[in-house]
Amino acid sequence: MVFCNIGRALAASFTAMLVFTVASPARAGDATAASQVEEAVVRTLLLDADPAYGEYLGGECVTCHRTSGASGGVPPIAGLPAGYTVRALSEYKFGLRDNNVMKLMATRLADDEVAALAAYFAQIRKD
Amino acid sequence: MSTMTRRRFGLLTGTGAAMLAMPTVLRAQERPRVVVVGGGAGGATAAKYIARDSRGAIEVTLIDAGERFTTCFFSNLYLGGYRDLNSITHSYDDLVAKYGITKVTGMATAVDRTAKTVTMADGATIPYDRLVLSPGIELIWDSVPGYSQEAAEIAPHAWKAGPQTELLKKKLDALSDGENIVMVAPPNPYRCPPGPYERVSMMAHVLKARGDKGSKIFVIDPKEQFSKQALFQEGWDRHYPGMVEWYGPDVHGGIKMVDAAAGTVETDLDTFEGALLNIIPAQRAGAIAQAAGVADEKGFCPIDPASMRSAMDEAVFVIGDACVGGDMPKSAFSANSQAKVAAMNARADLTDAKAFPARYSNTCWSLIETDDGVKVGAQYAPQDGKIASVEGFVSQLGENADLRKATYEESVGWYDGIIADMFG
Repeated sequence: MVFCNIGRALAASFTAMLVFTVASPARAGDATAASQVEEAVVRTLLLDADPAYGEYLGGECVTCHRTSGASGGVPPIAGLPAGYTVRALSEYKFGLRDNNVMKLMATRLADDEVAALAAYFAQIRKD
Repeated sequence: MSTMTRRRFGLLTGTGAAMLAMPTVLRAQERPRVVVVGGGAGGATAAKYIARDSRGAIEVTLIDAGERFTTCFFSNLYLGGYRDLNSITHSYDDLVAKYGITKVTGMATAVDRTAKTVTMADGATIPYDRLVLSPGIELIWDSVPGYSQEAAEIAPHAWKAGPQTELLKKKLDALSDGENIVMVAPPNPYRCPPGPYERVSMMAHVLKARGDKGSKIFVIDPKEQFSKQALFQEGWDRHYPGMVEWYGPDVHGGIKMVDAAAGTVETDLDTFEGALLNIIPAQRAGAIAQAAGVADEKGFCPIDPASMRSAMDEAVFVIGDACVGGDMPKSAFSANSQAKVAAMNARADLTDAKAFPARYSNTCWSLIETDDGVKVGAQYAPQDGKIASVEGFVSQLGENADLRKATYEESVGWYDGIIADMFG
C-alpha cells in the first residue's frame, strides 16, 4: 500500500509536470536547464579536482581573463570560489547564461574538466 | 612524450661513470635549451609558458628583430583613431625579469637542423635542444603585378605592424574629400582573415567622421568571398552607405597591374584610381621557416596537429601564421593557443612534465563602426591529420546595439588579456 501511495503521488506530480510543460514550453525549458545546472553543480563538486590539469585547461581562459584579476570588457575569474566557477560554467553549458564564446567553451568541458578549472582558478592568487 | 623522456633520461644516467670523468664545466652545463624565433603572439607566449612552467629547468632564448613589439591585431583600431600606437606596442622586459628568458634582438637567418643551431645575421650561433619557430608571415611581393618592397613605401601594405601602419595612417589622414582609396585584398591563406574588411571599415569611419562626402573605398579582391562577409556588408550599408565598393574576381576579372606612383590598380574590368593605395599581397611563412627547410611547396609549415611539432623535424615546433593550421585561421588568438600546446610538448620532451591532449580555440573580433563589434569563434582538436574545427559561432545579422557594444568591449578586454598572457 505504501509503495502504491508513492507511486500514485509520483504519477500525479508527473502529470502535473506534463501539463506545465505543455502550457508554457519556454519556462519549462528554463526549469529543465535549471535542474540540469543543479545536478551538474552537485556532481562536479563531488569530484576530486586536479588543479594541475586545471592550469593546463585554463590556458584557454587566460587569453581573455587576466590572472591578475583585472577586469574591463571581460570579467575577472582569478580567485573565485570553486563553487561559483562550477555554477557559472554549468549555466553557460545549459543555456542560462548568454555569451557565445563562453557557451562554446563550457559546452566542450566535461565535469572533471570544470572541476579542475574551478579548483585552479580558486587557488591562484591575484597579483 | 614524458615516457620517452624518462627512458632517454635512464639511458643517460647509465653513462654516469663516464660523466664523472668529464671536466666540471661540462657537467655544470646544461639545462636543456629552447630557442624561440619570433616574439609575437605565438613566440612570446611559447617562451613565457616554457620558462614559467619549467621553473628554471629549461633555458629559454627568445629571438626577435625588435626591441619592442607592435601588435598587428588592433592596428586597424589605431588606423581608425581608437588607439594610439603606443597602446599597441609592448616591451619584452617582464619576460626577461620575471621568467629569466634571454631576449636576443636581431634577425635569425638560418637554422642548422643537424647541428641544432640557429644562426644570426651577425654570424653568431645559438644552440637548441628544441626550436620553436613563430616567425609570422613573409609578403610575396610579386604576387601582385607591379608591386614591390620599394612600391610599399608609396602604397603601403601595413600587414606587418609598425612603420607601414604609421605610413598608411598618415596617408589616410592626409586624404582630401573626393579622393579615393583602393585596397587590393590578399588571396587565401593569409594573416587575419577579417583584417582587410575591418580595415575598410576603419578607413570609412575616418572619412565619415570628418564629413567627407565624395571619397570612396574600392576593394579589389582575388577571393570570391571573405570572412564575416554578410556582417561587414550589412555594416557598410548601414554606417557608410555608398562609400564602399567591393569587387570579387568574377566582376573585376583579375588584377593586371598596380602602379604605386600613378595611384592606379588596373583590372580586366577597369582601372581604379586612388590617392591612397593599400596593397596586401599574398603571403607565406616567415623567411626563417623557409631557410630552415620546414615549409612545404605552398610556403607554409605542415605540423603534427597533436603537438604543433614540424612534420619535417621532431625537434622543431612551428606555430602561428607560419604553420599549416588546418581549420584554424591565422590570428593572434590562434597563435597564442597553438603556443601553449607547443610549450607543453617542449617541456614534456625536456623535463618530466606531463603532456595533456591538445586543444585549441580562437575568436576573432572586428570593429565595423564605433561600438559596433562582431565576432567569429570556434574550438578545435586534432582530427584526421589536421587541426579540425569542432564547433563554432558567428555574430548574427541585425543584432541589437547593446550586444554589438558588449562585443566591442569584450574585444578590448581580450586585447588586455592576451597582452598580459604574452608579455606579463
